[in-house]
Amino acid sequence: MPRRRRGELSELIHRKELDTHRGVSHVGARGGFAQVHVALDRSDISRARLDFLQEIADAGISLRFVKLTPAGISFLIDQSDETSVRELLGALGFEFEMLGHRSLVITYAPNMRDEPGLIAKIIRTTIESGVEVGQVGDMHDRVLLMVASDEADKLRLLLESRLIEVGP
Amino acid sequence: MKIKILKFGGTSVATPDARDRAVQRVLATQQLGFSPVVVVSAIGRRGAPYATDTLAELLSEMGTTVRAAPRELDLIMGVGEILSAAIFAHALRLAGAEASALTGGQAGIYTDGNFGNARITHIDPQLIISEVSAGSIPVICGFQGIAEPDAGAKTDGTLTTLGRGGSDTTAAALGAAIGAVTVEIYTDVDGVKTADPDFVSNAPTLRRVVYDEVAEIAHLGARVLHPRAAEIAMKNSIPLWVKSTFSDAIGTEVVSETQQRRCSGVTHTAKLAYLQFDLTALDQDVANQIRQTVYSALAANDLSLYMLDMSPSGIGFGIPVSEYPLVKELFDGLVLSFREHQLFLILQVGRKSSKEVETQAEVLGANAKVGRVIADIAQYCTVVSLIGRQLVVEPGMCLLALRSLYDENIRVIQTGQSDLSLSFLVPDVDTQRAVRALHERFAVGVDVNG
Repeated sequence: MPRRRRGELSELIHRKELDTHRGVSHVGARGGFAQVHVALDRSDISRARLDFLQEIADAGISLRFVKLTPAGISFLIDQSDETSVRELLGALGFEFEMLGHRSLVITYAPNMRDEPGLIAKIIRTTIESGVEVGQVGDMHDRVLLMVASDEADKLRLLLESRLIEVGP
Repeated sequence: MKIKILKFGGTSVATPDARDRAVQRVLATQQLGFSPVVVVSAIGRRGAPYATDTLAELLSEMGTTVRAAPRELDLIMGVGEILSAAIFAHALRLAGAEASALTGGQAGIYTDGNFGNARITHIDPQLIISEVSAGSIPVICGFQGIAEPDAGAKTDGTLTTLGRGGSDTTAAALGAAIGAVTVEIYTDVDGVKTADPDFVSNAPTLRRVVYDEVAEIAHLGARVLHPRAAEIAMKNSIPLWVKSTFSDAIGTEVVSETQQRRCSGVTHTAKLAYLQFDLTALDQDVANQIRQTVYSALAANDLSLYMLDMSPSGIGFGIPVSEYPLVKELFDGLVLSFREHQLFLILQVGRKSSKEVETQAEVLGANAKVGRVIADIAQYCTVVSLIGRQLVVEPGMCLLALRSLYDENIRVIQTGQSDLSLSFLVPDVDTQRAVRALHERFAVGVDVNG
């Protein structure tokens, strides 16, 4: 094999992505959701949550972003299921709040828990912006913020401007 | 020149017998016509004399009045891999091979200037290529590099370490930089298991797993491979294997696609404390101010957070259990004033009020309306996760998992979800039962050969 000159090799290697990015890499938004908060019997809340989820499963409804809240349970549904879920929960007599036209604003930061304080900083920035957050979620590489769709772009741009560090 | 990267973990270089097995694997690779490039971790696991943690403790044992400088800490932690590389290169020479030990810097691994958790910025493998071309086996120190010349005057050219799992990261990045035909991670288990074998003794080994699933498995607790290594291999399409130094089992091949399994594994990770503030009885503006105060304090104190919840009825978050005393100190007894409501609210961490909270309530209560916002605490808990792309899209899977745990009388404190996993926060004492219950209910491992 012909030996590469040092410059050629270095150029080749510089083009490769050899390690994960540090800090926030980008912020995106995805719409088309409705958010549901359900208040359940708190005397045996674990049982009440299971019974509730069983009713939802029996109706063939897909839930996302399920969170156990002090009052009961919260989750997301596709906007297209909003009417049927509203009717179902009403018919079953559940106490619930449904917020339509919701979007997920997603802040990506690979291996974000290797950067202590980053997740809290993202949420603090969001709360300080005045945008009302209906729910949050976290993964190893992203924070998800559920907001009203007409506020999603504003929040996305704010998080981009405040959190993405521009390299030298 | 077909280069193979072989990375040996701490247990694979810990004893003469283990080293001998590792050396034989390197020689066998060479005999098959490949050019081996070896990456080594420090010798042994936590507690061993030259293990990374032991070396780091050498400075703290001298006294705690002054914190160890990150630069010195990295220098001392890098010693473990330097010893290991020199010993392994010598072992190869004793076995009749040509070999030379290289530090991360000599191997051309450049990083940013973040001591203790540096990221690789580029690799100039000129010396590695020269060694390989000359028929010698480079034995490279994992977990370390040197700071880029432009990383700042205080970091310029000094040794940096790559953080947890850094040797896996070194191996994958080198594989990408020099166009290796494959990267093989050697450890003391047969490959990627469907669960921790200490918890599920018959947990099978996955024959194949896709890059993003193995990264998820690693992020959520499996220690067999570091997620950064899987992510680097994925981005650069480097074939990756996880194998045992000590057995001839074929191991796990990490690939870009495989047959769809419902579930590839059950993991457990992160000893956490979980706090959940109940805000149900509060006005929305009051609740918002509490949220803002809490998250500002968490951000200001650089705390890592897990399993977040922020609904109208409350906020919840997990923190590493080691940070619980700090969080208790931050919030327990903290008074928030709401002038427009003519109200003081005292935050209380735990159902039982502390002396601090009682004193605040007594002092403030004499002249004003005072309320309490109580955070329920689960002080010792663990995240147990089901991994699998199908799980997340198939309706009813969250319910099935919750029911499995409920049937075992295991309390689920919080849930989480990603594109590849469903996670459940459970009390630490129930971890093993939770892992077993989910492994059994989801029949994890029935299709490991896919």
